[in-house]
Amino acid sequence: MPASVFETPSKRKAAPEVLPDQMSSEVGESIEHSELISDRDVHKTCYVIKPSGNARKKEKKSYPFIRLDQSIPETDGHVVDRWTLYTKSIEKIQTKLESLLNDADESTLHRVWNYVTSTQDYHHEAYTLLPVGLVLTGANISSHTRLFTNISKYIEQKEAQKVATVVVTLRDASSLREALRKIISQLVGQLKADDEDEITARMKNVPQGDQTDKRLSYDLDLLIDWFVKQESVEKIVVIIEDADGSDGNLLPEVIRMLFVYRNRLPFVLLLGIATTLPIFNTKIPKRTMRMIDFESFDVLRTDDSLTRLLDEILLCSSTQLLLGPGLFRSLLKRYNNHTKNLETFTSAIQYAYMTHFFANPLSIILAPPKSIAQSEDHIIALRTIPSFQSYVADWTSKEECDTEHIRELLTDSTSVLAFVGSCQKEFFEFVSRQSDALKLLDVLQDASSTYSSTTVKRTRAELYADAITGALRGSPIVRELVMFITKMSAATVDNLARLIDQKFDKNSVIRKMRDSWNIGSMNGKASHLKLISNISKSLQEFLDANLKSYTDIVFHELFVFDSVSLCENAFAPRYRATIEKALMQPSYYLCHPSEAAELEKPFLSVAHALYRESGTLINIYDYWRAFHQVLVAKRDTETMANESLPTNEDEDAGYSRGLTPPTTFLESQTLALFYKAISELKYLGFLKEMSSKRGGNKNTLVTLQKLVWDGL
Amino acid sequence: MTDLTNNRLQELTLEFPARYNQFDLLNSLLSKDKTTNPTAIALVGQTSSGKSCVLRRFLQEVQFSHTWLSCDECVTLRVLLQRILAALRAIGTQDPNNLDYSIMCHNSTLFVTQLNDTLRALALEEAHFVVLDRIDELGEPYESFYQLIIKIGNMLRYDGITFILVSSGSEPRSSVTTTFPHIYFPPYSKAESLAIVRKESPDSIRSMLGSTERKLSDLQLSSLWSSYTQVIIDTYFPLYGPDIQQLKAIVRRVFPTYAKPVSDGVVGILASNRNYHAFVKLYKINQPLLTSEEFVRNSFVSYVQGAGAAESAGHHDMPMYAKYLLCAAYLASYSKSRYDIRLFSRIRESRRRVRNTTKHKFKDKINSRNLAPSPFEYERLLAIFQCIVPDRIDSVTDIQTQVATLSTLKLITRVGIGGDSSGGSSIDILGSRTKWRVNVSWDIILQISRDIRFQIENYLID
Repeated sequence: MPASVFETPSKRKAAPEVLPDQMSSEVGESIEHSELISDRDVHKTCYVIKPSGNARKKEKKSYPFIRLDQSIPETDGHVVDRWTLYTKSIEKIQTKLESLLNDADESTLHRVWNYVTSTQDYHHEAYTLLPVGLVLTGANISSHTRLFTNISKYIEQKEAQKVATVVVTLRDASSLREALRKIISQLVGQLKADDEDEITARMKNVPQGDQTDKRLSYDLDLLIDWFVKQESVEKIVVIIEDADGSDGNLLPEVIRMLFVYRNRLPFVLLLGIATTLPIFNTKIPKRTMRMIDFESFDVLRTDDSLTRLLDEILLCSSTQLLLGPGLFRSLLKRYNNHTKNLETFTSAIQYAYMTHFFANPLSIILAPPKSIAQSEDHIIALRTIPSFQSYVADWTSKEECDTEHIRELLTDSTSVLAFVGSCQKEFFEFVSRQSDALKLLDVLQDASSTYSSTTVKRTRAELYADAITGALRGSPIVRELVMFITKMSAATVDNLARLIDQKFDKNSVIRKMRDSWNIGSMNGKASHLKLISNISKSLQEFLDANLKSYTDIVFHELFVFDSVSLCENAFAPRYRATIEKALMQPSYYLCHPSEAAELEKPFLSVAHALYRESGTLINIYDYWRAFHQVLVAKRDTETMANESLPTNEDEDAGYSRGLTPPTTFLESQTLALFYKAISELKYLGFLKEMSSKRGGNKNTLVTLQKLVWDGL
Repeated sequence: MTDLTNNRLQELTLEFPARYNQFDLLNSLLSKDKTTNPTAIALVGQTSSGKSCVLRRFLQEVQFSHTWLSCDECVTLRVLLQRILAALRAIGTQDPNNLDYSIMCHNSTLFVTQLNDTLRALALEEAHFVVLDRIDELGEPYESFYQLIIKIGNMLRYDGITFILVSSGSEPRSSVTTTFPHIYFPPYSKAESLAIVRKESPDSIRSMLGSTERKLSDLQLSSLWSSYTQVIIDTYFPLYGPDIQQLKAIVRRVFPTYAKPVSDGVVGILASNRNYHAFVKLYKINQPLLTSEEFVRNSFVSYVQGAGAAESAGHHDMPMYAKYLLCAAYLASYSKSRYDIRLFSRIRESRRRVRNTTKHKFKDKINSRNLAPSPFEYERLLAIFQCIVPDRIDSVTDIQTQVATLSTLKLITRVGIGGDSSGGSSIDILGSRTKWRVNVSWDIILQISRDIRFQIENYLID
């Protein structure tokens, strides 16, 4: 029916307004903020949440979390509990993260500051070089601004008034003039922000008598006037954030200008290098190299920070929620392969926490269970947890079982809660034991590494996932370390004892164990052997006892969060697959699976289907013919199905009379649709127009070139 | 009439070895009398051949009224023109350092007019010299300005001003044939370089050495210094030729380390040059110093490694896939796309269809690594990337993020519309249409591929 054909464009145009209603009527259910999602919409792919009229007023009282009545009927109190639990735990983590990130910078800041103050005072000697500090920041660009602002603040704080700092980026400065103008204007602070060359510096704070100063805004002489006036300033620190991100010759030029003025302006240049020194080296000409005197600073290695993160956040005594092995592995993989960025790692942890408290109604169990006591539903839900069920099954399968205990758990709610509490204690114990065991492995590796340099040390972060699943117990690495202990010399024993003293608290189990060895009390070979066997035995026992799997804990589903796909999809979506799926299978996004057969494919996806079948170059005429054929054929089958036995004569007669609508597409209609479809494909980046001349013929053929490669 | 007597010239030559002729020429060309001076003269010669300091010394000696302008301080010509005018206007005022910057000068034509005005106002009685030092290091192309200065005599209505152009670059071709005085400063020979480097007072040598436990007399110092400079010149002259400044910098940098055995008393004092024994001992101790490149500082890397921080190089690593992407970009730039199937496909059929390319080998003799990288499509980069990574990965957004990061770091650059520099173009930088080019040299790529244990040579046809 042609009517629908002509309607389509206008429908599309109006899409933005129509969308919410369409969505609510066809796809999902518009729900009130506090309304429930009932069981019948579970399989819907999307929901539109419409805040009700006076949502703003409500917002103050309500919480971002919603009631999860789908699984357990919750009261508002439960939601609040989950929300407060989440905010509390995330606050704790965030303060720790802040300090972690700042500490990582702290030592660098200090060294840079030392360098800045230690640079020689400028004097009128021809041999003075421009002092340059190379700050190796790593490839994680997003953290650079924070780092350099910190450096600038730190220096200004330490050297109140003595040092003037200026942070610039060369990325957005296209020429030397712009770069210098940035430096000058930030320091003098009086220049106008206009980018025009013509804008001259009319500085009020530079005494010029009654003359007007018409110097150009990139003239470094301006800075001399300013500097002469600033009595306290002894050094000017110019920080260039993106030294290796600048174009071609810009950085050498800037260095040259600062070098030329070095005897009048006490510059210290700090360059942020995101690549490595060898790469940066290739970008600086030798001539520039001769102008500078440099020192390099390594920002603390992020691998160390990762270990600290593990110690202080994931495996500390206040840990309430443990990251599961799968999730941690995937995060670590992403960190190593893709980001090398501690911030993204930590935000992923935060996301995991959020998901846990948002989506798991039983997560309130992590708090002292007051409110849960009243809710029978929660108790029932607790009993459905697989680990609890298998616990009960194991218990009952035993020969002489204490059926009383099981019966109590299954019938009495208070005893279940008490049991959960004891499980939680067991979990805390587990966490601290894991932490101790990992630290011990670390110490043992350190002690052994001095004797055999061939083995590569595996960090705690690498071992974490294996450790909490219990895979480490009896693994090659542990066996090797125990072997090492049995071969230790007296000096190594001392070394090991020293390392243990360094790494562990006085009250920890391992310290007590180390005290029980009585190192140094015995002399002689026989006693040494005895000592060694004693040590290896105790350590082996310790590791065996502590490297347990978290799955041994009943209710571990409540304490360990391990949803890999959730986090992967949130942080690294597969954009290509998504677009292709939408084009190939539009019903996935447009309607309910049961209605998929009835959905009329959008013309875009028809064009895309043909696109996928063709070669690299597509003749536009062929493409259109095929497109036309597909549409016509489709319409034919539809009419065949709808109208019973339409005869050709009838159709022709009706068509000629112009009374009944034509049942097939006109060529002009399909052409219009075709143009629309390919222009949309072009917009999506699938196609490019090309005109080619073939065989000396003057007629140009308009062809389309495929741009997107398959399977990437 | 010349201002300096021949005796005085001889004395100056003692101060500046091998520059008698230049002093003589300056002396005979320039004078206080404003009518006899040329409007422009040029001092030309290689870098650090003593042009600026000879001129400075000369002007100081004859007490000519002059203005000294360093062109390398001027980012654009306009800054230079403005400074010339401001400096000229300040002549004769009470405070010559308080410059008046109330004039703007946009171009050379305006400059001539304003210069005329200024000269009229000044009404010079004696000749005034404007030195344009390092004219070749002006931030902008300076050729047309050079031309203007040479011919400015015809355009000025008031005399009394002489421009002295000091340039170490080659002169603009158009001005080579014009007749205006040139003074050529030939590069120093090895003996002359030695003489210049040696000319150092005992006090300054002592200050270079810093505080020492052992007191050295002036005589001891100077004998140590002369043997030391001989060694340095013998070592580095073949490398740095007559670049006196570079040689001096090296001399100063190495000296404290070199002289340490003497000041510590490990080696006996060199009473005279005849004390060969002590010299040989000192030389033997310092031999590594003279063979390593540490003190030349041509590179960040060797110096850093010399400081014992070699291990730090590996830690600030890029993420692993960024390295693979960079290798893929290199391969995409340096291998032709017609070899792609042969190199990257695992289908056996594609390998069978290898054409005999022996004929072409004689034609393409230039190693492609020495040529500029050729642009490639974004999709090709992704395809090669997928071929070389050890495990199959989906095209997640992280990959695109890394491409964007690499492009920010200028390790790969975008070619074509929008250019590399402006960046503000409306085209989506990760769109399939864009073309890219790798911006990293073979050495670095080799190092990176070793890091990830990827045999990049297997994928290159040389």
